[in-house]
Amino acid sequence: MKSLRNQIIFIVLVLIAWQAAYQMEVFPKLMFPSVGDIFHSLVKGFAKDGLGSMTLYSMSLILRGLAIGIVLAFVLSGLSIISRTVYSIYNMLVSMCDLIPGVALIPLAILWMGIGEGTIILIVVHSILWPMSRSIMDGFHAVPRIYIESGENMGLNRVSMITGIYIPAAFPYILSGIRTGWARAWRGLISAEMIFGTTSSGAGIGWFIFMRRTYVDIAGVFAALLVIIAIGIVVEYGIFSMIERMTIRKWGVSR
Amino acid sequence: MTEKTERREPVLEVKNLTKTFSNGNGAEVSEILQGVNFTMYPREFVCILGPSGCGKTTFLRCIGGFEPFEGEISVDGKRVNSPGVDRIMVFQDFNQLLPWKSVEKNVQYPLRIQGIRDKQELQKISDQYLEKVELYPYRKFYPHQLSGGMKQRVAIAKALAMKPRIILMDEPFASLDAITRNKLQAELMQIYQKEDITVIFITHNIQEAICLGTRILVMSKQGNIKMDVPNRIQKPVTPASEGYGKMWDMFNKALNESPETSGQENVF
Ligand SMILES: Nc1ncnc2c1ncn2[C@@H]1O[C@H](COP(=O)(O)OP(=O)(O)OP(=O)(O)O)[C@@H](O)[C@H]1O
Ligand SMILES: [Mg+2]
Repeated sequence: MKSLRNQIIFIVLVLIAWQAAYQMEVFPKLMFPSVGDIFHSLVKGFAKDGLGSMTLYSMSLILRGLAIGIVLAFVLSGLSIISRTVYSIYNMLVSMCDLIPGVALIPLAILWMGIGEGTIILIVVHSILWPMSRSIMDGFHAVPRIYIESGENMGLNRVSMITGIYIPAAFPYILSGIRTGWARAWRGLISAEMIFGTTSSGAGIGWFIFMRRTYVDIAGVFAALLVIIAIGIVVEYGIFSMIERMTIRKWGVSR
Repeated sequence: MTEKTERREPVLEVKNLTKTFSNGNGAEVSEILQGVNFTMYPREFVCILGPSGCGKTTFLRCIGGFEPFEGEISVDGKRVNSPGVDRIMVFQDFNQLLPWKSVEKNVQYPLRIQGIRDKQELQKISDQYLEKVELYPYRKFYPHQLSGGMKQRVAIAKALAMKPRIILMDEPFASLDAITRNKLQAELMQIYQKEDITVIFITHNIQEAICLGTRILVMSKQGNIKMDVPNRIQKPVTPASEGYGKMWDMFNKALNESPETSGQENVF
């Protein structure tokens, strides 16, 4: 609770400093909106400019991409535990692909697949698959030998070895992989949306930001950033922290 | 006390077991076990003594199927060379329980893998064995909430519940304080007297070997069995037991003898 109090104090201080900078005109007013302006834009965004539905649309894209990416990462990393050949190839593939930023793939993706949901989801999958696989494989390799031997001794087969020993034992790594993947996925998504604009099936937060910029509505841009931050906080404290408490904290494998 | 259950079919036969480790790029090869022969019958409680580094753990790991080896190891007449549920290992390491499972789930999990699906039956078995090691009140705890001695008792309960042909124990009490250690020894002895189990128990504590073993082996520095004696002292054994002192001296001497064949003589 003490840390929550400190976090709130910090945010309040930032807001006060922000407002003070605005009042003292440290930056031109056009470029630097007041706290009130931003809040107003936020309300207006949801009420009139469709920020709510755009947020939902972005969320739906990212959830689909995450689901595909996470499943793929588990399956491929799992296979790489079972087979040395798969490991050597997949490990190389991860090393190569992890370096390519999602944005850099967008031109290619547009040329090959056109502008559509599929393309955005592909970018999201790309953003999460490689870092996530890297974490999972690192985690698998760090599993203490005694758990593996225990598992062999109990008569686990290869598949139950992965689900029964490797995955839970590597959970701290997996969780950090999902966090990284989630963050990268957001970046990939927002960049793709800004570049794509609207697709036939809808527009997302990235597009909202892009449009606000063209109207030189800086408060609107900040409002959209706030939405992204809010989502990040909800996911971190609502989902990740909860998973952490239910798993690695409860098991005593992390402080 | 074992006359009735004892059959003359060996449960474990080790023939000419040789184990070498290659160091680094395979250039240097050190032979840890040199053609060990060993036969064990059901209901025996074999304690293995030996100086540190002589290959006790290696021997047990070979039997457990965790190390490749040369020679022949059979359980109930069948050759084995990989881990199996007929030989359950209790490691020295306190961290052998799965930290993500509660105490009772640690006991139940291997049974579920063996095909026992009925929740009530699983519960009954885990309760029963946790009772035996006096940890029933802790059944919902997670391993990190237990002391080292408690963790070892869970590991023993888990091994018992699986009803293996042989339980392999590698100094399970070595890192415990003397009091806890004595308590666990007594507990294990009681369990042994009630349950139909066969145990190989490694230790470098002579007292422990005499208290627990029905048969005691001493391994030499060169990695072979240099002594193999039955322990006929009436259980429960205390230092005051008839013959205890004599036996202790004998093993103490055997353990401290300078190696007969190697060139590294005692410097004194
Ligand atoms: N993986 C390995 N690679 C190379 N050498 C090994 C390996 N494991 C064990 N050894 C060597 O084998 C020898 C026997 O080791 P082992 O662990 O079996 O001894 P121990 O009798 O159990 O000793 P302690 O009483 O200290 O536990 C040691 O000299 C050790 O250096
Ligand atoms: Mg050892």
